[in-house]
Amino acid sequence: MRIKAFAEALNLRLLTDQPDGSDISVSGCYLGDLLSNVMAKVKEGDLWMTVVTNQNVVAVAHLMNVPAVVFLEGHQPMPETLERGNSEKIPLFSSEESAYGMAVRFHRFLPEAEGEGMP
Amino acid sequence: MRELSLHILDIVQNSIAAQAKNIEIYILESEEEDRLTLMFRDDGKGMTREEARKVTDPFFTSRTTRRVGLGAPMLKATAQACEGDVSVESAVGKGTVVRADFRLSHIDLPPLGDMVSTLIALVTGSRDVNFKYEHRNDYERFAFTTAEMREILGDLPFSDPEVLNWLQDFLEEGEASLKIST
Repeated sequence: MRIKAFAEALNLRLLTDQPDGSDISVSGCYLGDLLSNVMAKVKEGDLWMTVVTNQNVVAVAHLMNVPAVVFLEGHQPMPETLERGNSEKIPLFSSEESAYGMAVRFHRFLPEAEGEGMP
Repeated sequence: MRELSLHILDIVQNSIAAQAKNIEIYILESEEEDRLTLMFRDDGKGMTREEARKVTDPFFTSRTTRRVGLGAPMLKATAQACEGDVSVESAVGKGTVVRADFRLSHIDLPPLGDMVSTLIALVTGSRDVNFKYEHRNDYERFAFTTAEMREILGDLPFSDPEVLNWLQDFLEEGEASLKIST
């Protein structure tokens, strides 16, 4: 679905420079802050939500084919992280919500999204 | 990482990939200084100053199969989360020194983990490499080199079951001696 609509639906702020017409496709979500654990468990297509802000997050997202990352509780990614998000073309979002809040929001979102052509 | 021993494995793998023949692993846990230090020295092929600077960048790797190398970057992230940092010094043809410092009392410091299994894996996994290990705290010190061990063992390989038993006991005793606090 369109990245702008996606951000609105989940009340996210887009931090990277994705062009307006960009699409994003997520099939699930994963919440985790221990990178070694995320690498073991996250699935391709999962929206990854975390409080870790260093650029390893983008490296892991790239490696694990994660379509986008949400930084929770208002944590702002470090400058290098934003740079990497842009250079690797991985959308990065910000939310004031906690992990629990975002999980509930996402759970409400996904059933609707399926009707709009989300895989 | 859940344990520092996993970081140690990652960094030593880098030394092995750099074709090091001698690898030193040094662990200091000092309550007096509220500091935990890991130091690694190898005599592998080394790096240019530019490459050494980039080692902690997750998108810098000598691998050709993928563009991401996470061992040193993750160590740096853990160190910085514990009010410490990582430094890398290297010279082409001379080898590399990696140092990581952590505030010992920091709540986010992972436990050291199972150094006995880690050392057994390293020693038995790399036949051509000579390891020098030192683990110390404010009171005790446990150190050994595999070169000294090989002198005693002669032709017996580390993979020999009796040697493995002996190695396990030796390492367990050594690591345990550090846990006795006064």
